[in-house]
Amino acid sequence: VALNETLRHDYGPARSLDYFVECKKRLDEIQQAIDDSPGMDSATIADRMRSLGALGSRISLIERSHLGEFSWPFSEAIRQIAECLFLEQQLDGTQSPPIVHVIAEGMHYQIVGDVLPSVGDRRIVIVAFPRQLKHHVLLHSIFGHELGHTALYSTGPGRIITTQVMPALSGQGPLQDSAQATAWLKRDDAPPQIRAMLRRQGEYIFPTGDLQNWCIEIICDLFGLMLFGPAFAAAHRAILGTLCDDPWEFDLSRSTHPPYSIRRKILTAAIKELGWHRPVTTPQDGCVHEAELALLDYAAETTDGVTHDRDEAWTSLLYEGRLATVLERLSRIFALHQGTAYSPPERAVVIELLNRLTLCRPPILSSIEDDGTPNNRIVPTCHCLYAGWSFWFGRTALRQAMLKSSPRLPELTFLQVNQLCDFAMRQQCAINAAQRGNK
Amino acid sequence: MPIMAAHNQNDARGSARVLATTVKRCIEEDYAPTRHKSALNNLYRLLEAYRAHHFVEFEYQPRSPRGPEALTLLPPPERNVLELRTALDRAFDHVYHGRPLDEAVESVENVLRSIAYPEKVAPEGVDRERAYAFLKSFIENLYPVR
Repeated sequence: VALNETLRHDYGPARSLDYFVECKKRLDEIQQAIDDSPGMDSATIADRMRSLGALGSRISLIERSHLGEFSWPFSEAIRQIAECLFLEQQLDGTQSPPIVHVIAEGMHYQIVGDVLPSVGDRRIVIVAFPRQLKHHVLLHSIFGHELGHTALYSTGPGRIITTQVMPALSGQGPLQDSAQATAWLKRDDAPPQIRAMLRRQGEYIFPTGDLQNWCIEIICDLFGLMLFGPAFAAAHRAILGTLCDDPWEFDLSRSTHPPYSIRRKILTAAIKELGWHRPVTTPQDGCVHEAELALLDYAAETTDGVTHDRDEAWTSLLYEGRLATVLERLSRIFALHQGTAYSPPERAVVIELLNRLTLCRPPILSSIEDDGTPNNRIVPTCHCLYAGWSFWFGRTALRQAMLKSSPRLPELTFLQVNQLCDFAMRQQCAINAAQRGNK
Repeated sequence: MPIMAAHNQNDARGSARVLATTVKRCIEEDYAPTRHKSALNNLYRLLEAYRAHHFVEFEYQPRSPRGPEALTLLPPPERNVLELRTALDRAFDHVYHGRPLDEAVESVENVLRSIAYPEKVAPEGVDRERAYAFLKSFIENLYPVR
């Protein structure tokens, strides 16, 4: 009965069937295994129970998948990325995309995947949106980081990250081994907060296990940046920057993540390395240009009062001379899947999208020709988010400039800007479907 | 301990052991492969994952959620994934000593293919005995006697 419930239409248009079929297959296989070996040993019984428990937990998650509890256009964007990048080779030579099951659960952005399904055909990847942020699509680009973790245990991208990206990052410098990391932390030019922490700690050696954690987290940040561009860096700063009391703080004895300041500096350096800190608009574009500069300043600038040049030099030792190689190798993951990675938008696109947002309209490219035919264009999700963030940082001047021709324009809140972008992404789903149909 | 806490005993070695045992019995011809194609496929997926990323992502476990977050319905993380890697390392080293890993993995995968799809991959051309020895060693190394 619980399984049949998964087929209800309010769990996502045309999506619950795949989920039902996979869960049904897993259930049938468990049933068959029990029927086939009635005298199974206790370890096998325990594993069957485990499989049933895992299946039960996935079926119960359908209840957390109600439409309206999360941004389904954004979940579609994640689904497209996952289905494209995380194909899994099967024994018969075919490739299966994962089943991306989206839920609203908990208070953090999370993606949980099957590690070792002993039954079934397809990997189920559960994407959990935080319940308190339903339609904040500008913040949702932080999912790029979580997709990096999923990439690590997928076979295609996982292989590239493990064999090419990680060696490029940790082959030299502080991430190479515990001794190098300890020496780096104890350098005289380390930030005063780090030096104060070390003084309190006394004798200290950087834990070997944490080196791997730091590498993984840095790579996942860069993976998110490559997917969503400066919008990812903006969300990263907006969420993590506001959550940490001390941007240099981390647990010296056991840390899963580098301190926020280090992560941010690496993202900033990566944006510059990729040339994405340069605006696509020009000073002739007035407020639009100013808005774009404000976004890029927020996402990529370094003079934010949190850090100083001295800290910059110390942090850069983590990646100096290696960042370009790391990014190039990471880009190999996306090379086979055109359109999955970020590339800067065209100038005219940014201008049009920001003008629409200023007029309180969803940022899409849609117009009606003189003969009455609609002219709709494809806007990638990352460009919609780029426009949304740019508008947010330049909203006051943009509205002021538009008031002359549209005197009743309201001031938009952050939530309203997010809702307009969410709506645009929904309209874009329809435009994309129509474009595919036309072909 | 609440009865549902058993849910947390999410040991990846259990699934691996059942998969390897099922495939071993297919090689022994105790089991009809047509009824166990899924086990053959899932063991193949496990080998591909091992070959691709060595379960690097599981070298650290995030801290368990506390407070209201602990009430989440999300499945708990799989445990002992790294023991799986160690068992695979040892089994490959034991049976395919000196051969490049990719070659050794492909050898086992070819056996899986020949069992699942004998019409496509000729069973004579594959080394069933070695694959059998590999699975036996893998199972033994999953729960080594201390």
